[in-house]
Amino acid sequence: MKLVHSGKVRDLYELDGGDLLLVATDRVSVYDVALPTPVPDKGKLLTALSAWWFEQMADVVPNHVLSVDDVPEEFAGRAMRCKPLKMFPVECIARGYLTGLGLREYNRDGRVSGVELPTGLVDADRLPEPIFTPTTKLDTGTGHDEFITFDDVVNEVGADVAEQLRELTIDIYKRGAARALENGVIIADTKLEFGIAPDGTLTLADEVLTSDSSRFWRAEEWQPGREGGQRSYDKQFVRDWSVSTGWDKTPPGPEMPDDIVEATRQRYVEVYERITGLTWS
Amino acid sequence: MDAEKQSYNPIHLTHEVYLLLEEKGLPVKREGNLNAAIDGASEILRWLGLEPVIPRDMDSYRYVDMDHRSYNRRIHGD
Repeated sequence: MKLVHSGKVRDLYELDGGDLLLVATDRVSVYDVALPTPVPDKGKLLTALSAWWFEQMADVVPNHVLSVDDVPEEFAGRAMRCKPLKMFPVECIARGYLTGLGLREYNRDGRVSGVELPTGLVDADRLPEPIFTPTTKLDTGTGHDEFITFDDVVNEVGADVAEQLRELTIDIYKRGAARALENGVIIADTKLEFGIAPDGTLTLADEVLTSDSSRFWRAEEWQPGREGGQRSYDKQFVRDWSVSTGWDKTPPGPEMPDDIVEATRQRYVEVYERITGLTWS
Repeated sequence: MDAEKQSYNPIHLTHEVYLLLEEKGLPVKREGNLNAAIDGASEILRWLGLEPVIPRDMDSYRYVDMDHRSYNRRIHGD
């Protein structure tokens, strides 16, 4: 087993034989800085939630998961054995609600990533239809990731694949958002990644509809236009806390006190239990 | 190692140190902050006169964006 990449919160190993092992840690990263305090069980919770979603979406698109059980013991519960893919250099983002930088763009231009939207929308409003707003993950050397248009995606991967990526992203978002909403969770937006398997199959990869790759809100507290934004289930809670400390968003990040660690863990547990209907133990 | 550029991937160094110590029978584990370990490996490489380099292409085509960097920056404003 060979470590081939270490991210802020996940590590990637290449196993003998060529399979990949995607390992989720208990680290939390905000503003592109890994905080020094881990959140117990975060890696296991995200792995379990992602594995559950992969199963739910298996009839929509094949995925890269080979096993969540056949993994080295030291990573048990927080790792997935995956097929190696050739990844598309596009992050496929679906948004069903208007908030964050999208809201800022809308207030300025009346559009988000080139998509015209109705007038009069406010923060956290539901969009008439989910929109596909891809972004590049190639490092352009500027330190900034760029939104790209659908035509850019066509140029990058070809028209057929681009259309498939758009349709699959919206389909997965719609199905996931509907399922989560039944259980009291709004998925405001999410990011998906796809690749091509050695046999040429377009394949869903990465992690799916988790608190790290999505924006989650409590449905019962959803209130468009609310002062201070929506109460979030995702790591926005940690972002907000980190800013409240006066931290300047550069390394090293602040140590999280015990109550913030526990409140963060509780959010991860609650979102897992609500969405899946399973009990975390 | 890339002899021309005199560079080396610090991620590989952390793994090789793990294997070396394991071979020696030490009770090594992979826990805690790996990024801190990679920073340490980078320091060792500099001390040895080598440039620590993590190839950029490891972040793009073959592997997923492990940190959701584009998503976090473009959607959440990180």
